[in-house]
Amino acid sequence: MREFLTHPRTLKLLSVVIVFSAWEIAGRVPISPAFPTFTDTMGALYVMLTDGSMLKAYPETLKPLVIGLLISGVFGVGSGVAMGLNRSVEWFCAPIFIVLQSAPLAALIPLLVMTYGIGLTAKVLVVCIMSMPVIVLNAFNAVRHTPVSLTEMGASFQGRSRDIIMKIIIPSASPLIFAGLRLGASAGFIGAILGELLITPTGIGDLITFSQSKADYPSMYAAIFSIILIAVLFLEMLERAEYSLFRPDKRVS
Amino acid sequence: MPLKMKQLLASASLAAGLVVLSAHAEAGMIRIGLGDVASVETLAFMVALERAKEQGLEYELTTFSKEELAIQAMISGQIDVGIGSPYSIIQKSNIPVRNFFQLSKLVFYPVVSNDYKTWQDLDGQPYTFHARGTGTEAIVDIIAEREGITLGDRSYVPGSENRIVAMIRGQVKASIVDLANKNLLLKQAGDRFHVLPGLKDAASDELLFADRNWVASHEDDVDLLVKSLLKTWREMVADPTIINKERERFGLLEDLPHELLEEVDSYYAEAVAAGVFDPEGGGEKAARSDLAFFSHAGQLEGSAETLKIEDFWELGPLEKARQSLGE
Repeated sequence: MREFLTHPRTLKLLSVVIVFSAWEIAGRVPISPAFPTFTDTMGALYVMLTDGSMLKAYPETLKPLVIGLLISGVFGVGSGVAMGLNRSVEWFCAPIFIVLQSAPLAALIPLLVMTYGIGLTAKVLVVCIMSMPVIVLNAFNAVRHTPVSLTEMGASFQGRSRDIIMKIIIPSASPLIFAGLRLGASAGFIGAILGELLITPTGIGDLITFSQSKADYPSMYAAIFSIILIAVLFLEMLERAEYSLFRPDKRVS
Repeated sequence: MPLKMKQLLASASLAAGLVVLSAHAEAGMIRIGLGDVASVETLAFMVALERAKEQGLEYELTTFSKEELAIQAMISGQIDVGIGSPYSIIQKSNIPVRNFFQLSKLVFYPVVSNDYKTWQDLDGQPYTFHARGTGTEAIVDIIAEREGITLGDRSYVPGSENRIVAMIRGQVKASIVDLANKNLLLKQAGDRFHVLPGLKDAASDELLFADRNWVASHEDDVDLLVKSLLKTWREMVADPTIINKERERFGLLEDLPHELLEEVDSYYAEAVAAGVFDPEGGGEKAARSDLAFFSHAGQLEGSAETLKIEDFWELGPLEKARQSLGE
């Protein structure tokens, strides 16, 4: 019994139950007439799932998200590793990503719209601007902080520089690179929704704004809840894939 | 007493003082939420507010980026008077919000590229609106029904100014925009775009609304406000140049660029001629045609016959203002 009560899964479930109960109570008080209860929100979520509006919205939202994350993942890890290995590349690229990371995205959106219009390109760019700096800077730091003793060992065993990079530096950097990818993915979700709220309302962003415009707050919260849920599940999947495919040290037998 | 504790106490007492001060400042102050930035188009309303202030109305204007936020702020009790078109909200939610003055009508122009000569050419073609379920979409839906056509893909780009930019860049071929942007589009790309015949009778675009309990308990403030609005609207329809004269007198929008301010007179002359402003401030007649329009467009459930005006409008303040100013 004691084991069951202290099991991580039980504790996770308990925290979820506490949060949703608090939501239900806050909605019943109500803290604001515009704040629906948890049960109303779930009811609205069920309606949106069964009438097909949500199933139609997700492909719209996921398109810029997936394209943006793929670009950010490939280019981000690539340029991060290159920056870590080569000082000239670092001097050239680091300022760009540091500026992008600290720039307020909402203020940049009008510029993006001016330049790239209101289509898919602008939304993909918003996802990239959100997720790429985190991925790049984490990969860069991971490579730069490879223990010197390891690379020296590789050199003393007559390893070619390609071997040292592929067999020592990258594996040693991979935990931090993956952490960057996870953070980048969650930032990408924020970017995808921001793009839909601030450029043109499509997909889930449209469900949020449309529900808000007709004061249907349960549906609005249901749309927001669904995207959070998807983001959490996606990150969970990413973590599992990382542990089972790339991290023998973390593998759960 | 340790230094940290002292700082904490000092800041706590300062915060408490500020709360008392702000509460004091807000007593008798009506809080108005504008769902748009202060611009040439909202100038007439700002002039009417300043005139009401001369008569003793204390007000505070907050601008929101979106109309929906004004509604949410009203539900949460952070503003008293909002501006927008809350018909479907009034029907769908149980918030006792009522309209009490019509600021402007939905005078919008269907602008299309020269590829489309008539409405018939738009059968099955994509069309771009302001936002889902808004007046711009209702107008085009009614026209499409009249012409017996079905539109193709619908996309939404909030803001007429953004839609004409997209049109000039060739990303959008058919849309519906307001008067100022229709003129701008035809000025900049009149060789590529033209205006198709629209609707004759325009419904309300911007209405003043408030919680009906608040209206009942703030009779004097509401009277001052509505009287000032009705007087300004009547004068403006008779002589549109009054708005710019009053702007100069009150020093409104002085930080706007010179070339925008030069357009104030021509904008109001044109808007008055196009029938954007009702010199009678809407009321029963406007409410009736609004109900017909929005129910026809499917944004209100039920037919114009079954919908009751008193469920959407508070007609008292406007009646009172008409009586005191003379019909």
